[in-house]
Amino acid sequence: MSEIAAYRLLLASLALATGILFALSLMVGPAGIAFSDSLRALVLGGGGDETREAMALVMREIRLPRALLGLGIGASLGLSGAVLQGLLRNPLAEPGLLGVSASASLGAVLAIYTGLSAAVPLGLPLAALAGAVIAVLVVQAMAGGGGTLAIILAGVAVSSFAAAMTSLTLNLSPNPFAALEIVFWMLGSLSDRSMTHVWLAGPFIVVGCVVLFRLGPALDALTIGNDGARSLGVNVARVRLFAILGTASAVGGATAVAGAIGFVGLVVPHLLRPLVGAVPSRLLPASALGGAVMVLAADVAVRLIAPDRDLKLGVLTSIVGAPFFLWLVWRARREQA
Amino acid sequence: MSLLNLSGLSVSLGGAEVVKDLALEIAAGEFVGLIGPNGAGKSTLLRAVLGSIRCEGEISMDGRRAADLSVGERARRIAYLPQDREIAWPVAVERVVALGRMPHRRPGPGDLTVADRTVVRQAMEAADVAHLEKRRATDLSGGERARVLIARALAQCAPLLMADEPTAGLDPAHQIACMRVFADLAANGSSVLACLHDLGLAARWCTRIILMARGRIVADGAPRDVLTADRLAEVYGIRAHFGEAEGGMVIQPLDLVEDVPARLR
Repeated sequence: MSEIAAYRLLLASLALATGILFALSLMVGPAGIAFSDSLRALVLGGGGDETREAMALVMREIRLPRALLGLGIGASLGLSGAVLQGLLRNPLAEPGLLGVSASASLGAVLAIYTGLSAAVPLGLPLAALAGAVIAVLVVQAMAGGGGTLAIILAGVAVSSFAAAMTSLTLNLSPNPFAALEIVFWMLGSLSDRSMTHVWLAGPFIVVGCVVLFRLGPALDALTIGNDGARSLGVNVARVRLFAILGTASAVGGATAVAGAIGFVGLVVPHLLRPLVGAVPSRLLPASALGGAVMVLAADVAVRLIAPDRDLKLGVLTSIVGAPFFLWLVWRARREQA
Repeated sequence: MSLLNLSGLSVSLGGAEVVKDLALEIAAGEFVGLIGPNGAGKSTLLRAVLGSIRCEGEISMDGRRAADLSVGERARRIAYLPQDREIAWPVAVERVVALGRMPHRRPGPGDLTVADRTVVRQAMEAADVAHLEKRRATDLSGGERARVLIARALAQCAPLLMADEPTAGLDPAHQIACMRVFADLAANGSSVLACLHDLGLAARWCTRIILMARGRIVADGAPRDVLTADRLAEVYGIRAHFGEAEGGMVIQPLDLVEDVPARLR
């Protein structure tokens, strides 16, 4: 099979898996609606009948936003991980590296702490978005003109500061319930999200992903280093700026509504790289689909494993992701030996 | 017409002036060897022309100011082979070489045209890496990887090729093959500006030698005029054996001259 055919087959398989998991995500839930009924309720609505109205409400207001967010957030995490690994030419890069996730979390935590989240509808995700924007402005201002090392260092500094401020907020939390709410939010979850969350995060995710997708050819050129890429006509500083802004928009939007979901941005590009011949531009669509597959699968799994315990999505991705990553490292080492 | 024209070019790195008020013109059909001791400013000069470090002075390409050219327009005029042989990912060799076609392609997706493939094929054959085309670039030896990157620069088909130590790490046969390819380019109307440390190769293959020391051009001209015993002693602090073979000049460095520390200071 030719290389291009193998690549198309991979994308088609990932797209199929995404579609199946999206459908599964619409079907799994405590309401226990039959498949045919759920589809009819989703598409046609209730039509006056009381049970049907309830079904339509569950499908349209609870399950559909959850599935849509899983799709968009997974794609954002996978895609931005692939872009950052290509930009920094380092397989350990991931979206959290820029400090976006930690700062968005801090924004959300402050919203819970100050009562803003309870007082204003959407106060929490808006505060989280503000946190992400501030993080990006700081990282770009500190490291924009410098090299990739400057970006990594600025991102680490912003992340650490945001984490410290989050700890301080927990530390000063006036009552245990607020602290518990903060901790639970930080674990990352897609449950109880509405279409309003989709409309809030959606534009940021879409804009971010479009910006990131366009970087493919430039990332290919960066395979031979900054000067090599420049000699091929790539404006490296502009690529860096777009990678930072695109990641901030997509991952900032994702974190704002779902909290921090770890390991997707790191593991997915890593896993798919050998399957696309390590070509950075081909890794982008594959990682976006792969991220969607991983997040949708994990979100279906949390509902199946512990239907009544509200197992957090971010906890599951990290519990599965970290040992899996260890296994990848072990396998890579064995191949080299 | 001159492919590259530099005047009053100065570059400062970390507070030290590495290239000082340098003027240089390269015409079509020249194979220029840029030589000089470590730290003379050779690589810095190439990177300033590439536009990846800030400099003062005028750079023009094809009679147009470099500052008025986009990065893409520069890429169609000058190909550059960096000194680091970085290939970050285990990509197939042919894909690395095909990157050279990037400045000539329209933006957006789409595969290489037939013409592009022919150029890539020829570049791989010229650098003797055609037999490695399906191998992963990161699995190759240092010298093989260097040749893959030479092929990549050749595939760019720019009127001027700037190469930073292209022969470092190559075996003697491939060193000669590389110089031959560059000489052929020059014979066909392109130009090559190559930083070299091997004086023997430079003397034998280049049509013109520029000798740099401490950020300035010390001598510029035909190999026989630039590479003299006095200059080698003065700039490098070495003495060399000069000879003739097969109608060309032979230089073999022999030893450091006496009182080296004083001369290198």
